[in-house]
Amino acid sequence: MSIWQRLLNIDRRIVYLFLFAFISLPLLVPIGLPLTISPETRAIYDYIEKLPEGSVVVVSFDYSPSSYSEQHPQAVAVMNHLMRKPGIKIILVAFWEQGPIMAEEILRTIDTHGKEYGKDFVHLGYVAGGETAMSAFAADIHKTFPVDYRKNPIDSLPMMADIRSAKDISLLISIAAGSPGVPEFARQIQGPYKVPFAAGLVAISVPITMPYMQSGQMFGLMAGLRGAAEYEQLLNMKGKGSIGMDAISFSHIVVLAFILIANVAYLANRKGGAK
Amino acid sequence: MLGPVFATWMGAVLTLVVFSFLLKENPAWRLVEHIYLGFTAAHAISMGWANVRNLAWTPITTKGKYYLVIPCILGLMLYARFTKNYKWVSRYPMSFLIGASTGMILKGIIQAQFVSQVKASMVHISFDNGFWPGLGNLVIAVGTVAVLFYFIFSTKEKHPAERHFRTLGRWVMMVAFGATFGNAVMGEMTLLIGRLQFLYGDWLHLIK
Repeated sequence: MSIWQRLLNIDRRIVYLFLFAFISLPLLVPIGLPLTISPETRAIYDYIEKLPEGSVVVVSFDYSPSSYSEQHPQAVAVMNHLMRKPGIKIILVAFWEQGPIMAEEILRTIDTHGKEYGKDFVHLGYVAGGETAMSAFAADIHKTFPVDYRKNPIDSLPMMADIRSAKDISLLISIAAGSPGVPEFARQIQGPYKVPFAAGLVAISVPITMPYMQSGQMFGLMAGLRGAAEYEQLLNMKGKGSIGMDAISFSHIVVLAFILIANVAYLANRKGGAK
Repeated sequence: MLGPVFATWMGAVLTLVVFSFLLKENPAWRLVEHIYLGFTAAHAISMGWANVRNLAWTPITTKGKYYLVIPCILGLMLYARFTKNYKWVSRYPMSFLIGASTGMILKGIIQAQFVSQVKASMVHISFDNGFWPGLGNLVIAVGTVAVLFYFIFSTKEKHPAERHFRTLGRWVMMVAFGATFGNAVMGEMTLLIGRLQFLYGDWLHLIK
């Protein structure tokens, strides 16, 4: 067996081993590779920075543990920014059934900067129905969520007295891993109610979501862990996104190296076979 | 304090067991897979019940909103599909669900996913605002038309230009698939990084 044939038949466990080593190294010994901030991420940061006092921001937790590594750091970064801004009212909601667990985890650990539950932020929890639920939420929040996630009647929450429908929302941010997600929000809330809309996405869904940026239906997006790292950099905070960026770069180098090796071996092997 | 420590250890052990699949499929991995599925199903049931309680049971029993009994009955009728003789009963709520969902989606789809996207594709091809924005608009315009042309299957490609333009459409799609693949790799790597961050950071405290 020639060296090229051997390279074409590398045991997959060798690939795993290389990946494991090259990802572990920068996690344990951070290098701090430079990171540029994309205009899409900066747009979200700038928009929140410019929100006037009294603005109502809805953060929708539409992801599950399977995309936790990519999306939770995005949610943590955005929530940190919103909590830092005085006078901003935050509504946490979920159209994915595991979303409330993520929201509660953030609320348990985040510095609220003096914001109080019920007065400055509420967690409404999950409502079933996907797109239908989004439509109902946009039309009448109180009817869709008679009680919040902590079982308080919504009418007992002072903050919600004047917030009745999507017309009262200043900004909608969905941390969306799939469906229901961006298309559904565009159809039911952004389009009909003209609510400014941005999203945090899993990296794989970024290309198919870019048309919504192009059309102006979304004004900003965070792309995977990189988006989270960019947002953390804008906030001057060290989170899981920033810590993971060196590892992402190293892992891509490994993948590129193996793609290169495989292609060179394939071509060399074909050439050898032709002889 | 014991609770979080136990949870971290349990998470670490389960993660390592899942990683063992990389070497070989084994009973421990299958057990963890079933535990995960079980937890997910149990959580879905509890969230579903919370919805029924908040949106139906409580309003019916405390506020006298008896009309909410109708969707509850329709919901129960769905379970008839698990019986042999009364399977047909489930078709009525199912048809209601499909009808309502279709109407709901159609309400927004024309504007959100057709008109807006077509409008966004009608870009002004000009280099007045700089070379790169102009080139970007040109790529969008030519790329959109080329891909649309690729999917016109009824022409006979009489002229070589037709074939070349169709090939261009395929290349545009290849570039898009490449971008998607690159993002997919980043996403999958992030999942691994997340688990290693947990193992090295939360469990072994090796990340400062």
